[in-house]
Amino acid sequence: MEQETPTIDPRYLELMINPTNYGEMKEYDAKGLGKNKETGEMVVIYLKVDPKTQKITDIAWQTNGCGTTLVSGALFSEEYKGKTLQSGEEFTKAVFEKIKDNPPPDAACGEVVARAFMAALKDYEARARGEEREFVEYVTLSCPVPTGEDDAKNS
Amino acid sequence: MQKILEAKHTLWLELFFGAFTLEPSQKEILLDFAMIEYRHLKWIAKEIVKNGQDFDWSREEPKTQFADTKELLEYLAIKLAGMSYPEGPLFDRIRSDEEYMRFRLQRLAKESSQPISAFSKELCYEGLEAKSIQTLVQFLFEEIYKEYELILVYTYAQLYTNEARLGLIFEDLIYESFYHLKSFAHLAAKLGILFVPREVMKEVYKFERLSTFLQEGIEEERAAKEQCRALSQEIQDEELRKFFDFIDNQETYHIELMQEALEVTKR
Repeated sequence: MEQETPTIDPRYLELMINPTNYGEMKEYDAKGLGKNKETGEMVVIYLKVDPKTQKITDIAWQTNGCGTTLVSGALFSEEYKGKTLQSGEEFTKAVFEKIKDNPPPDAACGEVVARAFMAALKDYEARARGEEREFVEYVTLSCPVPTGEDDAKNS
Repeated sequence: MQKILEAKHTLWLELFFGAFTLEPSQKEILLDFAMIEYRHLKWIAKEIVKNGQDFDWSREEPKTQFADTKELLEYLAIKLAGMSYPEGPLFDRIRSDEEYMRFRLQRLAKESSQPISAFSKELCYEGLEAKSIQTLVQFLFEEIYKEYELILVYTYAQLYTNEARLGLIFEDLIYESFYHLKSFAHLAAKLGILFVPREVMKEVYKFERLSTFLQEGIEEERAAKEQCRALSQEIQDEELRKFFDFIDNQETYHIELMQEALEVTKR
């Protein structure tokens, strides 16, 4: 059989192997968890924030999620880094609007990252008030479990 | 001890994933050594728990980029020589194992050298068309990470359980995940997309309730079964189709084991 070249975006491939900003941050100013109750998928985001400018100077994140969550996390973290907390929040709200039209699994994967960021913002505000607790935001969009039947229909 | 654990964790992964870049007889030797390193890792973690402390699965960044197999084998031999441990029967055993491994690796490095293609991202698999390769790549990316995650989660859980039945179930699931990890890494190396899975977040293995973890795990196993079934339907290659049917059926028994574990937690 003649070998065709697979249509996998090289950038996508690279992000799957080496996701940007991936890892744990030991000393952080804010930490947030995004969770999908249906799938058990989680994203944790850590932020370092400049207290004067409110700019996100560093970001780290981790997930137990699928490939789409991994790529979303890498791309979103690149967006967040260097933004102020307020523009990060605006970006996230725009994401919530945009992803509604995505196919359900992709939408839920993007949402879990965005939810983790919103939880981190709440944590930052709580720390400013002297409170310390874990902030978790839950995914609202559905991520259906893949079935062989659906894949057969799509192929 | 946590620092030793991190170095050991990295060494285990370097030996394990390094194995898939080698010719078959050398590969088997490295895989055996990787399994010994995993056992060391578990024994050190057990010591930490026995002393009333906790540990985590942090690690150093594993090195995977080498010019050829000689450079890889020499690197691993040097790495083994640089490991440092406290005194005691466990560490005497570890030192002795690693001295022998270093000797064998140095010998292997002198045998022959091949260029490394497992990380080339060539995405070439004889007999498979582009669409199947794409599906297979996606599957391997997710499942290689997942099997590694499961090995760490079950090992952690096993070290903290006093329930013998649960311990045995976790042991079985660890063996199973090792076999899957090995099989998937072999396919990934053939495709040129071998990679060391990313670090597992603490929230995954330091869970609050074992029953919730098991319930979510059962759902994940069901999803993995469906993915295997879809792959088996989509891929034309007979050997791969049979392989994914075989993995699919293994997942069925994993669900049984996890349900049994769930029953034990309810007692």
